[in-house]
Amino acid sequence: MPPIWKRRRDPLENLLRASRPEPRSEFAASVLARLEGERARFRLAGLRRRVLIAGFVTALAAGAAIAAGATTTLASSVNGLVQVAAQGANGNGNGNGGGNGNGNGGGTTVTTTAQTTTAAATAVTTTTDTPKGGAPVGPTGNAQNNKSGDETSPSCPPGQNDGAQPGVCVPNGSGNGNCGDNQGNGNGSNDNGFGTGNGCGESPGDHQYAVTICHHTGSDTNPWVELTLSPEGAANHLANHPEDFIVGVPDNCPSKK
Amino acid sequence: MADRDPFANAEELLRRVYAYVAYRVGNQSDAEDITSETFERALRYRDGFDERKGEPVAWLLGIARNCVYDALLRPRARAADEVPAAQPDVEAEVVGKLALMEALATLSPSDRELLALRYGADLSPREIGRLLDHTRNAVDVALSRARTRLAAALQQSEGQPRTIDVAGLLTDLADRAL
Repeated sequence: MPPIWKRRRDPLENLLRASRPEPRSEFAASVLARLEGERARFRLAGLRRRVLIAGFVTALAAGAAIAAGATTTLASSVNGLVQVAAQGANGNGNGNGGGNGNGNGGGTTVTTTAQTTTAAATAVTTTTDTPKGGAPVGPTGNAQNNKSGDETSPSCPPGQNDGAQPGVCVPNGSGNGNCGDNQGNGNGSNDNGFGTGNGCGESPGDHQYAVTICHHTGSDTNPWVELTLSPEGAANHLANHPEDFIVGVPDNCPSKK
Repeated sequence: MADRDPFANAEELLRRVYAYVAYRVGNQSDAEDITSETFERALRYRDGFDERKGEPVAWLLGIARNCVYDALLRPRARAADEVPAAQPDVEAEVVGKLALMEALATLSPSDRELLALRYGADLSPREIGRLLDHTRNAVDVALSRARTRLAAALQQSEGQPRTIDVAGLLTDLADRAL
């Protein structure tokens, strides 16, 4: 077989192509006129359809915008609730170091539900749980420091605070304060005497950890009454009743005045 | 939904569809009827055109094929008035085209279909294969065989006296003159 560029077209093919029937001009004109009319109608219908689609899309977009506004409002509400819950989880962290930094409340503000849950589960109030506070890490310890963490010594450089003796600056320490019965740690790190504590907050589960308090009644016959309170309730109670104290285990209150 | 207008090149489409139909049915009046029917159906079902499936001409030829089959199934009432689809400009040309039509009429419907699609509608073997659900090679082979049979039929008809429907030709000429 010769290559394609040398092949001659079959004469029969030529005949078939040359004899190809052509439509009569009148017939062609009539069909084309009919087609043109239909095409014009179709274009008009297409224009109408496009206008309708555009209107529908606009309405859809408006609806979506309204819905998005509602969603934003809802999200803001949820966010607000979460932040309120997170604020409840912020507690007080006691960092007992060389600078005796007393970190007040500084829990991280949590903005998501998952984080809030974690924070609440790991945080607990520590103000009433001093016996379980972390050991001093700083070289000077609590005994050598007269300043509270909230105070700044004007004579000491940054990172140091007044020691036991006036005019003697000691480095700030850092201490890890255990948050008590719960597993949260209060990290008290102080700088310039200020403690910044990642506070152990109250969690919903904290209420199941009751604190037993011996309450001084003032009565001669029954001078002490044992109270079992939530940690928060115990803290409030102790703030108003300085004579009361916490006992580690129940039935441990003194029987005499 | 048809986004692209399938009738954008209407004149070319008409020419190709008509040539296909004329090769298939063999006479002008039937070819015109069937072509008109084809375009009417295409207008009716234009939403069924999907440009992803093929060119508008392939879509129209699919409709035309159905119309041709419907027409071939119908009883032919006007056999005596048949006018060849060819244009009788010159006598020799007319005779040649008549001989071709006669030879085509002796072929099987499948051969005629293939030749009409290839040389009437001017489809490529690949397009024909897509339309008929055949491979391109199968179409090439079938076309070659159809041409061989057509050549044999033409040679056979050359030795026979040809009868021309002169009344029909005159009617056609008179129609064209109007």
